[in-house]
Amino acid sequence: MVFSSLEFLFFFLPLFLVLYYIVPFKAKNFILLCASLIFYGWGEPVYIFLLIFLSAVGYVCCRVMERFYENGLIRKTVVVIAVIACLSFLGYFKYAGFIVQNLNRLPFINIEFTSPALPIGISFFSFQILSCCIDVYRGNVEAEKSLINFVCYVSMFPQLIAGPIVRFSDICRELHSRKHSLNNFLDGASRFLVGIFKKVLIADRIGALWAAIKAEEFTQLSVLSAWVGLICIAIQLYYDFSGYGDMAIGMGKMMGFNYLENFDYPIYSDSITEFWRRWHMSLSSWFRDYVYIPLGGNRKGTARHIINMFIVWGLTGIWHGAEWNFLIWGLYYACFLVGEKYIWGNIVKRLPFIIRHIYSAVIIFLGFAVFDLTNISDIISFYKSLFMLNGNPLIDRAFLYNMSNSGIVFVTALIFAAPVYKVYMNWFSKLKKGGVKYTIWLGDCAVRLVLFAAAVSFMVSSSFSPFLYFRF
Amino acid sequence: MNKFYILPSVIVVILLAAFIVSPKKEFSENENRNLEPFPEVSVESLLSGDLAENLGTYIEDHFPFRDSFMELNGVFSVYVLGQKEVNGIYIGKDGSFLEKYNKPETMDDTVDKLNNLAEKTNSKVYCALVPTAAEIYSEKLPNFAETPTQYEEMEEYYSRIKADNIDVYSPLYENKEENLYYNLDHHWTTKAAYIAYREIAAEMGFEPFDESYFDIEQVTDDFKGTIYSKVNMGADKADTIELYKTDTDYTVTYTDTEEVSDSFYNLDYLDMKDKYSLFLNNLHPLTEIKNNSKEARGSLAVIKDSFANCLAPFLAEHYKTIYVFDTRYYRGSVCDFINENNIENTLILYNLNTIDTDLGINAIY
Repeated sequence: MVFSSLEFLFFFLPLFLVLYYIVPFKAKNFILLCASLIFYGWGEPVYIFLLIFLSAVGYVCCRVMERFYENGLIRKTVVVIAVIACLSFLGYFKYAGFIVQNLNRLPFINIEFTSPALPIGISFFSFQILSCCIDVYRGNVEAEKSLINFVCYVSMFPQLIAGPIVRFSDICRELHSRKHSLNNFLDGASRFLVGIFKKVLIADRIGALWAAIKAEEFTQLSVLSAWVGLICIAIQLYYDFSGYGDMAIGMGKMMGFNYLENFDYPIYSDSITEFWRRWHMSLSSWFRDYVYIPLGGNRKGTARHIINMFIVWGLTGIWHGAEWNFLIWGLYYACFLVGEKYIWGNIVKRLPFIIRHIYSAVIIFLGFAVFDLTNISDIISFYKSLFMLNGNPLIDRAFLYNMSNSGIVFVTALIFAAPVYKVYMNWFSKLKKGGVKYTIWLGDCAVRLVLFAAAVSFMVSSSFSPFLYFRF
Repeated sequence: MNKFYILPSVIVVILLAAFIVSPKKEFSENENRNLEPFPEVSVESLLSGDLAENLGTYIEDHFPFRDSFMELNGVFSVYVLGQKEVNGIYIGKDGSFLEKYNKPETMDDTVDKLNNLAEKTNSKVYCALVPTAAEIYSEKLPNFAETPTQYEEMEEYYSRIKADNIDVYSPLYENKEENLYYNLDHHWTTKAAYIAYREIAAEMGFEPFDESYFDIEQVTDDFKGTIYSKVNMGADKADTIELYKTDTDYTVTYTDTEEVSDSFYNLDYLDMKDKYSLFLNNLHPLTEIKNNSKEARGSLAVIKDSFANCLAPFLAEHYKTIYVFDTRYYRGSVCDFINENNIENTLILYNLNTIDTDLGINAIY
């Protein structure tokens, strides 16, 4: 079930919320757990058991580590078991097929292996279990006493299949006591709806524009078509993924949970370093805390620092999918991060504001081409078209048509990739109470109502389009 | 600011309630398909994920105010987002709807099959290819939309198909101020078919009747066809359907159902959405039309798509017997049938958009 489907928005969510709000507090986590398992089982009935099993392993490991906290050997052994358990399941389901396929290219190796279907969200929930175990090992957080609460934390449906990757330390208190209020609920609803708008009204339509461009021969693409296509890839992913995050955060809020933000207008960054502080923040901080810093971070000399960065961004890339192009995608950014750290970072800082943003945006966009195009010869001919190396024209009829057909959505998407909405909301909240504010409020509500109707009508009209991030 | 969000929350609950209490339709006329029935609940369907999937489709198909939401989606796409096409239909400069033309991809196969027919039969074979609205009214296409190429494609078909070509393109183009195509359906109007009939008659060597010979009867002014189903807009542009009637005595036999009628038209379809189907009673593998008057001559086989359904009545004025094939459903050999029945003339008639994708052409042997 995807959040922007009719069955989720009009059935699962309202029915769940009614039930959730009428039961007493003690039963709320249990109801949430049951709903999450139904939500998960909706698409993957068999893998529910995998989810429960891995959660149970994590729970037991945490409890044992806490019980024998003083005994370093037991604590270490148990955390290693937990890490191996999580990573081996993740490895088997996600990476084994890729590894075997590449090993088979070597001479004398021929392994028979069919990779199993990827359990939805395994990359997210195994990372949540891992972070919890490591935190308990480090003594940063107390182990959860209740199995129901623990499985509830791992499987909570808002963030189960596409993040954000929630840390146990961030929500352990709220698992035990949290505030339910109409205000919280409406805050959450507002955030959820923003997510729906991003996903349904922008991401899907930008996706259609990219599909139209992708349908042309890459060698014949006009330069402007190619650039619009390139921008579409990153913009679509951003709206899709962050829209999903908004919905997750919104639903969390409806239930009194406060998840950390996952995106902070990444396209609007003024350096690649900044981009990675704003893009998929829960994943970057996960790798920072559990890989980068344990490897020594930047404290062990320049050479180690550079190696560490390549390791972390290589892993970040491959986390997105078991394909070479994701690895290349990650390493591509590592090159720029190292460059900004040691070579041209200070020069970039002194550039005018607008140039800094163009510099980052172009590098971000160029990188995302590899995210979408998996075939090497496609990638090469697409890049050549971007720089007129195919002898292709600067502009053509197809570009003009695509722009007249989808230009409004494209420009809107670009505008709202900058923090325009945030600035507006701040400005509005500081406005003095009175007629002006009230009028703006009414207009704002009217716009939102129209967008809501449009989003529902789009959901009704289209056979659903699954979230892009499902593959990970 | 937040109080507003009570409203969408309430709307969600209202739609949920409306879904639960509303009666469920089995068939969507607008989309011309059966809607998903309530899925069967079983352990297997649950474990395989089929139950979830079917339930999802069930909800989509029976969602309250579904048709209105689809219309809203079209209106929003076109008038707010400025889209120039919706589901493969161009929104013309004057607000009219024009079906997108897809360039042929299987021209070689099509030409082979039709040439095979022309060579194998002893009948004299004619071929008429009909342009679609996007070609004749290309000036209405949105700016920068792909340039029309149906004329070139038609020329190429004509140069390769070994039959006597009938140019219906020119008379249609010259009469473009007439209402040649339906606003909300991809077919041509009876008027356009009449114009084509005059050209066909000239080419095939008989004298066409003047328009005044026919008793023109308008049978509906509320025809919303295939284009409407795709854009879900423009109900105010609903079309009229005209029948060109005569006093001639006919026997129309639908060989598959053994139905016999004295009319080309099944007016029962006027109560349904797909009103164009009233011509020749929709789809039949082989329809036999006998003209019982004395003046009619010889026999004619028609190999065609649905465009010919409103043309056949004109031709029937002149031929003693007409055999109309729908080769998608006709199981036998069309060539053998033509030879065995000594059919003198054969007319191949397709519109240029579907000739490439018509599955029936592959079944001609």
